[in-house]
Amino acid sequence: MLVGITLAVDGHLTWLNETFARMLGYDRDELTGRPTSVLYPDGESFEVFGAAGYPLLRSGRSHVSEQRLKRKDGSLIWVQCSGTAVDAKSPAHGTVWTSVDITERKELQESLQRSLAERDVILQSTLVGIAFSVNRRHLWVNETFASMMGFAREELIGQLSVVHFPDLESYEAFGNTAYRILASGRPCVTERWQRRKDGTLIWCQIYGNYVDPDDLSKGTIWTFQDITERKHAEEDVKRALEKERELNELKSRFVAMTSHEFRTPLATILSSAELLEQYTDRLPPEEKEDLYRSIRGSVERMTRMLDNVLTIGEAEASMLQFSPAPADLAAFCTQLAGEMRRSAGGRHTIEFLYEGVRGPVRVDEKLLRHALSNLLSNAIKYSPDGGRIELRVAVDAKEARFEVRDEGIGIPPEDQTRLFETFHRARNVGTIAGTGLGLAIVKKSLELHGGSVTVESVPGLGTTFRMTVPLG
Amino acid sequence: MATILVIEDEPELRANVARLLKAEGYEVLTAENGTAGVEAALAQPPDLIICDIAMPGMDGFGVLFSLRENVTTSHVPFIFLTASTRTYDRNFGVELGANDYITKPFKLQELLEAVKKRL
Repeated sequence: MLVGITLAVDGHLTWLNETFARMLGYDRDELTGRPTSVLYPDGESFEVFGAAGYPLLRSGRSHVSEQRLKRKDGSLIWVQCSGTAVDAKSPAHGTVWTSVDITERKELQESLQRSLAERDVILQSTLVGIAFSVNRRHLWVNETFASMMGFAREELIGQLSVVHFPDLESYEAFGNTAYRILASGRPCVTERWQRRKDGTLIWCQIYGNYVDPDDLSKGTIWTFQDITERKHAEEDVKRALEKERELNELKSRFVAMTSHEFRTPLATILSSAELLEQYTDRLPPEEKEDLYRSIRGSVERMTRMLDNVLTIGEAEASMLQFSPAPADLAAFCTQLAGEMRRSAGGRHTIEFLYEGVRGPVRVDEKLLRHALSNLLSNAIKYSPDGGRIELRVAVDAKEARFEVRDEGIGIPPEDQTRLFETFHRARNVGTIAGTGLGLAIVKKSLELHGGSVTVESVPGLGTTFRMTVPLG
Repeated sequence: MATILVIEDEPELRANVARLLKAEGYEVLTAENGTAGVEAALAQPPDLIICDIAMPGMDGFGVLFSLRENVTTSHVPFIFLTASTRTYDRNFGVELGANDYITKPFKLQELLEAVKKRL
């Protein structure tokens, strides 16, 4: 490296070497004797240089600085110069300066800084979170990543990435998988839950790759995209589709069931009518009576089913009305129990027990009939022949409590929660016919009444439904 | 006199089919579910069987399958009398070897003709 040397006395260049002159674009003679100020781009920088250097030189120390100097042609160069006073007491009487042209280095440095600054702006302003880690420790993260994870940037530098995982186990599991993939020379691409500083979880799409695949210790670059909203949307769509599929399945089951449910009593009606018509002379009177009874029974059965279909339709269209009127519950239940006994064809025992206040209370008899007749016909349907069914009613000034208890097949616990949903039937119904509407109607009727219904059941032992209806 | 076994879980319909067949001069045996039906058929193979499909426990398909497996009943004419109008139920019944498939509600004449055809 070529070093320029100058001797300055009283602010003038009294001696300089060839190298210094060339550095500044002068001939040696041209510059010798000129004031040092000609070397500075302007008066201000000359003053600044002097003010900074003088005290150092006075104290006998060297003044080292990087300085812009002006060449003869007006262009500027960067010079690293170092000056020492010949006599510290009086620097003006002579300072020796060595100068090295560092323009190239300076420009390189400036452009490097510029590009670093540009890169930083790019990396900071992107919507993608970026983290650079070595041994799973963050050495650099961008602002986007930090705020995505709910941290300040400074908090994350030096942190192990375990802070982004719901627990230690998932951190280790992810590490094992990810670094095995990376070690095989492929990028690690995945979608997973990440934990934010406040503990909330976000879905991230993650892409990781080694900086230098040949030297894994140089670290990995990870990019993160918050896809929580997309995931939620996906899940919503999935749920909606699942619900739709379920509903379609239930509807087609309902159609098949209703068609079966109607065809069976229709077969009884048609065959009874034809027997009465075509074989009337060959039938004893009591058999004829049986046939008329079975026609009536079948018509009643179909009517109940139709009522249920219509009621649930009204309920779902919010057209089912609550119109309370004074009613004698004891008489109403006695009549209902009698009807149910007849429709059970005497194959079941239905006990009716009433306690408490007698006399009229305000209820909607129509809704109550919907609820109770469905519970009772279920109790009959799901009990073996000869089964015993209890209808208990307790009435006080505040409320009426109804209990329908059977010793039938029961309801598996896993079906009990969805039992009151439209079309839902327990898995153990086998081929026992039904539409899956009855209990939905019970629930809707009770809701309109401001009451509630609960179920208690043990498969194989029996079921008890309890309804409470507020009075008042 | 031909004997006909009626397997049907609906008591009123079972009684009506039995009335019809008796009135037409047939001997009638009845069973109220699939298992009882198979037992009755094996104990005393009838000349014809009329059977429902949807029944608690063993259904009509199970009955037909069991009877076709057994040499004493494999040849007995078998008529399904069912509320199921689904094509795949009909096809499955025929595949298992049913001779006829009548859907509810049915005309007495229709059932009688099917019976006569098979006897």
